[in-house]
Amino acid sequence: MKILIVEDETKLAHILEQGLKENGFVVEWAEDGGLGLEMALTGRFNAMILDVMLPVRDGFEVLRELRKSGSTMPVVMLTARSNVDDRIRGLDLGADDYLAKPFDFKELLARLRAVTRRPKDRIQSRITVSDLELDLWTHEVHRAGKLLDLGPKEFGILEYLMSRKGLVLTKAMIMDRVWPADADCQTGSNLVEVYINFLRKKVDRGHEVKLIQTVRGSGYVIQDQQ
Amino acid sequence: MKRFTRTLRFRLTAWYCIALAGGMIVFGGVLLGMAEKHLMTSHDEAMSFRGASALQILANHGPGRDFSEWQKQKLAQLGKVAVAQKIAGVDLIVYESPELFNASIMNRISALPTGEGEPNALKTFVEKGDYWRILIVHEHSPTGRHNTLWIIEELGAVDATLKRLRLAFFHLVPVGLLVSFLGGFLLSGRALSPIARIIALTKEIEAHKLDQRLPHPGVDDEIGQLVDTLNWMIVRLESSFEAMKRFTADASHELRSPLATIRNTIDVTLAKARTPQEQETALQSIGEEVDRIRTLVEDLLLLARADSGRMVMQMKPVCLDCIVEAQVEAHQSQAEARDIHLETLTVQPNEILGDERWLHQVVGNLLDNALKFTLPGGRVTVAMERREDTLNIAVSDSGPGIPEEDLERVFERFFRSDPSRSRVHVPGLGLGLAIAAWVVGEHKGTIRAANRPEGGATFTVAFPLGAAHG
Repeated sequence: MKILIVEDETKLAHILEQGLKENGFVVEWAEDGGLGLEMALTGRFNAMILDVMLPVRDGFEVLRELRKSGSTMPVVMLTARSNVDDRIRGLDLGADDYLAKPFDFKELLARLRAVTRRPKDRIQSRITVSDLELDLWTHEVHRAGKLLDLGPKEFGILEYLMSRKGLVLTKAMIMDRVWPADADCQTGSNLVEVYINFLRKKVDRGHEVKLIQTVRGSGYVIQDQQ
Repeated sequence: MKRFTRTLRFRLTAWYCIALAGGMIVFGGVLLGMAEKHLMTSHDEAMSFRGASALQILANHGPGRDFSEWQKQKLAQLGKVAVAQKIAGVDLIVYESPELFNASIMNRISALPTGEGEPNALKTFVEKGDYWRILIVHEHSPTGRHNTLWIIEELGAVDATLKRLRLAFFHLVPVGLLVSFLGGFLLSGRALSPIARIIALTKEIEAHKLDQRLPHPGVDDEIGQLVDTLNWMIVRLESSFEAMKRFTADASHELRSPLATIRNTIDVTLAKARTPQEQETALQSIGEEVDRIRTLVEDLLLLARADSGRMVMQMKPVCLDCIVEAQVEAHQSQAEARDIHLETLTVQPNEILGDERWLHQVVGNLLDNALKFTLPGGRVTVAMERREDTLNIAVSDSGPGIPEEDLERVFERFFRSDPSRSRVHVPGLGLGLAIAAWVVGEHKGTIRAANRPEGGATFTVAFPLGAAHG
């Protein structure tokens, strides 16, 4: 898995490079937007970490050019500005995810894994994890053949977890995905924990096998249990 | 009620009514006076005509009561007339109109002096509430006979008439005042309604709606001027609000970047067992970022205190060339580390009145800035120059220079040339130049950025010499 980092903060770029390499990625680094775009257009990379504030060409411009060229390479944008406008602009331009500085390395890693494993072409209507079945069209969820009654937020979280089966999703990722409008109040809120608890009561209570699992300090994951 | 009486509308109306009441009282007084005078004297002209007629009628009259039929007839046509004659030193009424028989006024008339040499006169008598106007005519015939003619007019109940008039006046004034109060209240309401509208609109324009403007009435009257003034104030509020928002965003941006580096360095380093060397590298990196944050926080604090006016300069005579020399020396190792040639060109002993600590900061910040923009192998020079009325310090670098349109703006807080146009990477632009500009301003000096024809930028600080030897 080859990652391109476009970031003008030298130290940050170095430590991200080191961290990603230690996690099995192959990493290349571009210091400004011009070089970054050139490298991205070669198509050698599986994903790109792109800063917004860059010399020569800013991150938005790089992203716009990249998408114009037809590239669907997953892009995680980094920004030191947290305002919602920037986030919306980035996502509108075709960023796959958007991370506000300062962020945890684990958060970046989780998001990078999520975007690189995002099912792009395959449109399934039914996702199954063990004996849990979720229908994307009818919004019906069955556990062991029994219909579950889920609220829209609970369904949103479950759908996100199931579509990234086996992948750890952080609280912030779930927050961004399910409560995108209030994305700015994500810090300090335990909304995700509360809803995960609701979800657990409906999905896992009374079942031998617990499907929704907490990864301490990281987030939540759903996977087939043998 | 109290609030109501405090409105401009009420006060305007009240003042208007007070002025109107004053006017009405003066007018009423004059009117009453004139009416009284008119009532008293309206018959005077006719009476003097009657007097003249009576004289003619009596022209050939001898003494005594012997009046011809013609005379009696004529006198009767003249209305109330009485004639007295002095006969043997006694006044004797020789004629009186039939209307005057038994009239109480005759007692008063007969008591009037008739003496020779008395002038003709007009008199008013009040008898039992009735007003009488009497024209007294003295006639001296060539024969020595003395006649006194009284032409009498009954004015009637003048008092009652005046009383009625006064009563009407005192009733009408309050009614008139009430009507004009209501009318005035309506009118002032209409005149003030644009102000009420402005108040309502201004209330709606809150901090988050500062892009709104009050609609101009279209006429450049007082209201138009008020609207212009308010709009101008809103523009200034908006721009300072925007500046504050940008400043906060910039400050948080500058703080977030090093924090991201620290956070990730810690995360990555802790992810597995590290050699002492790796640990040291990580800690060093974190240390540098902490320094960056600390500098920024200190600068922010300093500017915040400067803004609130709590920073007072301790002005004393200071040796400016000593400060320049000391700062150049202090930056020498930093310059060498980046292979930049740093030197002072001309330095003369010079004293100015200033705050030594802050002047150190000015020179230091200018040197930091110059070194930051100069590429390895470049050159930074400092020159002191004494002009006619200023003492100048010029710090020049061999960096890329400053885009012309940004020359004025480099002293703005967190100013950053459009990063996507600048070809050089500059680590976290800070507040150094903004602080330098503030300190120089406190010293009544000027600071200017310019590009050198041979490339690179020059920052020139000019301190006024007036203060130097003060």
